[in-house]
Formats: sequence, C-alpha cells, structure tokens
Amino acid sequence: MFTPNTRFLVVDDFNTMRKAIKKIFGEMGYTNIIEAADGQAAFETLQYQHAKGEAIDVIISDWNMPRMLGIDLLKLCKKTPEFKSLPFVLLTAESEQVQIIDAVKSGVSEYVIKPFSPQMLKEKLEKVYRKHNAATKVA
Amino acid sequence: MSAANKINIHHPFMDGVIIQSLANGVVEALKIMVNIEASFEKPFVGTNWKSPTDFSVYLNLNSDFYRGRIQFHFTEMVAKTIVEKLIGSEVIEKSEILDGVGEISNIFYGGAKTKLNSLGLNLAMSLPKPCLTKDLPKAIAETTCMLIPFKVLGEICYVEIILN
Ligand SMILES: [Mg+2]
Repeated sequence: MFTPNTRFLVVDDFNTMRKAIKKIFGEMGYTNIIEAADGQAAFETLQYQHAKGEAIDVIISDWNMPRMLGIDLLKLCKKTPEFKSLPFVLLTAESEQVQIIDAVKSGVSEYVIKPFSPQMLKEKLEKVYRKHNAATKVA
Repeated sequence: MSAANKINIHHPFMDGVIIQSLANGVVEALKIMVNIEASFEKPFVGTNWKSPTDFSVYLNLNSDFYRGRIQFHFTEMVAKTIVEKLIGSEVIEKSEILDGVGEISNIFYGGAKTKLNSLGLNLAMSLPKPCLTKDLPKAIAETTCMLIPFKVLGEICYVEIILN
C-alpha cells in the first residue's frame, strides 16, 4: 500500500466531502492531504507543490465542479509531462456509462462512484497502488 | 391556469420507475455513506406547497424534454446528523450543514440521473445549490409540484420535483 507519508491532493467543490475523505484517509494512516475546491485550483496546487519540491503523489478528484471539471483536470494532467504518470482517482456521483468510458479512455486509474463506504474507498486505493506499482516496475 | 404549471398524471415524471429511482438514490446514499435508514412514504402532488423543513437544496433539471427543478428538503436534526456522520465530528455552523446537505443531495441526484438517463431522459449535470428552506428562490412553475416524502431518524424530509 502507499506509504504513510504519501501526499494526496483531494479535489471536491464541497468542503464536507473533502473532510469526509480526509477522515477516511486519516483512519488509514494518511495525514499528508492537500485540498482544492475545483479542477483549476487543483492544477495550480499541483504546479505549486511541484515547484517547491513537495510534489503531489496521488490525486483524488470529484467530477462535477465549477470552473474546471474533474474529467478536464484528468485530461490536463495527462497532457502535462510532470503529472501524466500520477495516479488519478475519480470519486464522483457521475456514474453514466459514457462518462466512465470517457474517464477510462483519458487514463483514469480508478473510478469510484458516490455513494461509497470507507471500505470501498480503501479497496480502490489498494488497487490503484498495485496498478501503479506494477507500472513503475515495468518502466 | 396555463398548461405550464400543471403536472399531468400522465406526465413521465409521475411514472413509478422515475419516482422509484429517485427514492432508491436517497435510500442507497444514506445507507452507504452514513449508515442511516430511510423509508419512502406515498408521493403526492402539492399545490402552492411550502416545505416545513429548515434546509433545502435545489438542482436545475435540464433535459432534451424537460426543464424544471429538483429540490431536497431536510429538517435541521436530519441535516445535522447526516453531516456529522459524514465528517465524523460535531457541526456547529449553519454553513457547514448547508455544505453537507449540498453534497449529499448531489449524490442523491447523481444516482437518480444515471438511472433516468438510461431510460433516455438525457438529463444534464447540475450543480446543487443549498440554502435555508425559507430562502429558497422561486422556481418558475411553482404552483404545482410532485412530492416524495421520506422518513429519516423519525422525521419527514422531502424530494420535490417542479417542472416548467
Ligand atoms: Mg461536486
């Protein structure tokens, strides 16, 4: 699993959801969590953290947000050399087939549909870790 | 009275499947996210209906066929309990309750939208807007609405559908 000092970026337009995710992550032993309220703010945070040498390791993002959608943040990250290999989890109430296909084509690591239980989130995160670990070993 | 502010009994939104998907969206979200049981009561059509609750969330309904609004109404105790269970700590500020009911309504709507769009309704994404029930901005066709009451923690909350 990801090491306890892994730096997560949690992106959601609702503070409650960011807090709920932080609580679940805290229970898993992860406390290094940075928040952003939309895709635009998230991208700026990614750049800022990268520039100061404290780069984000994993992105957990909502889909439906003002300014920049989570799917557009995902596409932007995949086009940006510094961020394209970052594990990217979409955690969203959007659950239509076309959306999931769009996300998978865009390179999402895992797609988690709200409502979710802490256990579901934990299992998905383990899956992301295994996938990412396998990918970096090959590379 | 114009045809615009009437919900006809034959209107697709009066369909059992649609009401059921909205109800299921709510029950499932509350069960999975915060482990709270909810049960639905008999839906009814309201005329000049005013919600007796404290907190509300409205989302614009936009599809190829329909325009309108979906609103979720919560009593203060229910809203506060849901938010506290979500974040795992006590909530004091009203702004925190508003934020929390906004997100849970987003989840209620998300599940229903997927089901409804699989039936061909083609509803667009919508950003939920929470407010105090007394501050709810008027929807255009407000005279008639469809109401689905649900019981949570012993109190009645509502899903309201307004169609233009
Ligand atoms: Mg959102």
